[in-house]
Amino acid sequence: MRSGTLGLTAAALLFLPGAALAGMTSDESTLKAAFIYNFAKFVDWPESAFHGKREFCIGSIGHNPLEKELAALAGKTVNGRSIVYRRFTTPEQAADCNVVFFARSEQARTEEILETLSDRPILTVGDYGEFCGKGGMFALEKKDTRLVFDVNLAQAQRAGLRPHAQLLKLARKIYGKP
Amino acid sequence: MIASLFPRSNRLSRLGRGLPRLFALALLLAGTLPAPAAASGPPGDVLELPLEQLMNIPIVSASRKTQAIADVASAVFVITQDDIRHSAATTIPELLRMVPGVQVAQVDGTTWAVSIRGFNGNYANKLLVMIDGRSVYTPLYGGVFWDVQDLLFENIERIEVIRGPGSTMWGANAVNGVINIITKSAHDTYGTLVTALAGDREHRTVSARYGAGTGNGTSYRLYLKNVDRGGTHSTGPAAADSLNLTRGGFRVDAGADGSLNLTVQGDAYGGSADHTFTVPLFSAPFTSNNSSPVDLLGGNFLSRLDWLQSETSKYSLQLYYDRTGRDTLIFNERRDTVDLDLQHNLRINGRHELTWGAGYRFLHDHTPGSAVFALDPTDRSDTLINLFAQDEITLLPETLRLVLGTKVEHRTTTGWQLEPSAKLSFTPRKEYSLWASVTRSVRTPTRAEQDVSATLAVIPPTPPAVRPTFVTLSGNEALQAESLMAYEAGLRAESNAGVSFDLSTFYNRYTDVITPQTGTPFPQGSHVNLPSVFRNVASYDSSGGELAVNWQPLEWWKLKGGYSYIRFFGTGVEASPAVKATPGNQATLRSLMALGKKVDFDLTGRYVGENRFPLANGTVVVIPDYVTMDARLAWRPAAGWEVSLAGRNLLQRRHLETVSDQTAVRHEIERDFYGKVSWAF
Repeated sequence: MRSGTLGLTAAALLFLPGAALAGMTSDESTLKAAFIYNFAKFVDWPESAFHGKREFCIGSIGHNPLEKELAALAGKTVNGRSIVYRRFTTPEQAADCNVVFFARSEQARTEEILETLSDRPILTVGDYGEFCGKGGMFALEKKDTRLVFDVNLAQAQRAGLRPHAQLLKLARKIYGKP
Repeated sequence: MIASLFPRSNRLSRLGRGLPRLFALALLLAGTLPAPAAASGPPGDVLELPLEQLMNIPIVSASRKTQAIADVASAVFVITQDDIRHSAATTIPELLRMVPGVQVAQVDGTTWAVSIRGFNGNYANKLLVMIDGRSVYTPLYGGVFWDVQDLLFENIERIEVIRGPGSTMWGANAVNGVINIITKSAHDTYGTLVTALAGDREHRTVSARYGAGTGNGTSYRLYLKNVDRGGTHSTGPAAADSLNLTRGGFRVDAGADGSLNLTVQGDAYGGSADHTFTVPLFSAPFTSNNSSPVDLLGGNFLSRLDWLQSETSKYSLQLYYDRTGRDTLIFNERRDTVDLDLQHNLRINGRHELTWGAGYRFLHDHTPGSAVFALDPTDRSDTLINLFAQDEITLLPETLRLVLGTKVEHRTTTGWQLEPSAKLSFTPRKEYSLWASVTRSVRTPTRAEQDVSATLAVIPPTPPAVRPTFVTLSGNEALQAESLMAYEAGLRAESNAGVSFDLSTFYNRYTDVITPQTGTPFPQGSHVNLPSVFRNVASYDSSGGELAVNWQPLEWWKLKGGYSYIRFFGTGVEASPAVKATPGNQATLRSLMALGKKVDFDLTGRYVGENRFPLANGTVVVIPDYVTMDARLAWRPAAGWEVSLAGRNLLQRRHLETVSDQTAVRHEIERDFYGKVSWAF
């Protein structure tokens, strides 16, 4: 009787389309680097961000677990400029970069670093959910097994950056909506 | 064969026979289903995808923390760093009040009663509490000395609370639940942080932390914290219950992006906590309340090596040493623990996630007692060995998962114990998930239950009798493990209106519960001895449920609520340890408001229902219900600075939360206020 029920369950399970859901997977670091690359691509940059430079700088501050993945972006382009990756130890060094990635190690110092970078056309991305609340522009966060992001629109606009509508549509949360 | 491992329970042996069949079925299913299509390709592929698609790619986390509690099919609640920051709590037990299903009652300024799903009291003994994978409950009585379990709150990454048995993965003492406090990696705490806190009861708490990286993938941090906390209001005789404790420690994390990660950490603490002991006297007035400082000195050292052999195979090796020193009026405890754990996590064809491991723990204690409390022998060593294996089988990708596993634990006095579990989780849509589980869990006898020889009370003679009666309690070397069969089910759901809820229900059957059994009085010299001995005699059932609801009505306003219900069944249960300090109903409601970027305003209300406290002498004290509230206002005037004001237990001048078996003095918790300044740079 018992094994009969089990047999039925087994049969039912076998006929369910299990494979249909299977798809692509990625490791966290690669996915985060891909998000950062997309943020850079889907923002309108002011000319002042480049000063006639030929390169597009993506930098990180703090203990960065994405080092390999961000360095692998070299050769790709944003706004017609090819990407270079740089590592910074002080906020002052980052002042001329285009994208600055804040590693989790900088959580306690977020506001201080942002103050140094403020009013420059620098896109800031934080590896922690509270980043936008502290005045950062893009916050990455893992939710269950997916990666999600928040945007602080007011901060981006203050720096002269204009995120595309499609980027805003995908954000989990938008801070400082007009 | 399996039946013989469960000599005293037919129910268990039926489950035991059923498990291999379930296993076979699962393996059959897993083998016949097609394997998922190609996993992660080269990174280049992912980079070319549009963001819409990136957002749907599941992360295969190759570096899943070994100490993380599986959230598949259990009642889990996670206290995040955000929850901690917005709380007015200054101690770990206060933080636990926000978790539904957890009973927290403050006995006095330094003693807490904390349990999950009942069996609470200052000697609650069915909980496993860990800090970074290091067990911190004392094998002396199976409970936690909460006065020494403190941390720099800013160092906590999260606190995972699992209600219900976690014995298959975590073993020893994880009967009613597991509380796992996880601190941040040293990679996540760069810079300097200084905090200072002061108020009426919180005389002074100061802390400092410094963290940095060495540039080659290694990060470290150091911290120091001193707490000077005043006592609570004692009704009746004055009784001291203040605390002064200093602790410091370090953590080093090396090699975060490589395949080999090493964590080395250590803490040391010293200080004193005032405790009151009601001690029987062998002549008139037969009892006395003694407040005296308990001297506390301890430390620990832990190292963990995580090796990512490949994307599908991961090893973790952890070794720790822990030293606890506690000098009280009635006993002095020196305890050394060495624990070695190996874990291997292996994914097979994308369908099986196999975790197996082995653990070895050596315990030694030297505990000289007093005239009223002694352990025989004074010195004792114990060895615990465990082996476990668990398979998480994906029956339908991201939809249906079955987790089967068991732990086998060996201890010299109680022999081999089997702790199997079967859990099923069904996620028909991303927003809904249902789960159910059956688990057997055991608790082996504590050092005191085996070796104690204590005089609990002296009853003055009632004329014409002339001899006083000594109520004594003796340990029992022949005790067996007590066991729990837990049946659980739950539901999680999330709506797109920003509402999520998590409902868990359970039915627990406890058998062979170790309980003091009173014998017949006999004359002994100049007194009468009323002896009681620990025996595996009681059986109780409990059932109940917990609900956690989160709602974010506005971008700047979060509401978080919790409700717990529990009831007990069994002969004499109303006067048993099962119901002790466990209200049938309790609820919490938190409101977290971000008033602009610089100001936070947080409120936490809680209701704790009427509950009973059966004292060792047979009297049942009824604790009235109470409602109270904490509030916190924080302001960040400049980058890195935060100033906050907090008030606790605001709704009345003072209230009683629970009583105690250790002292006859009753303490009431008063309304209090404190201010805190923190500076990060």
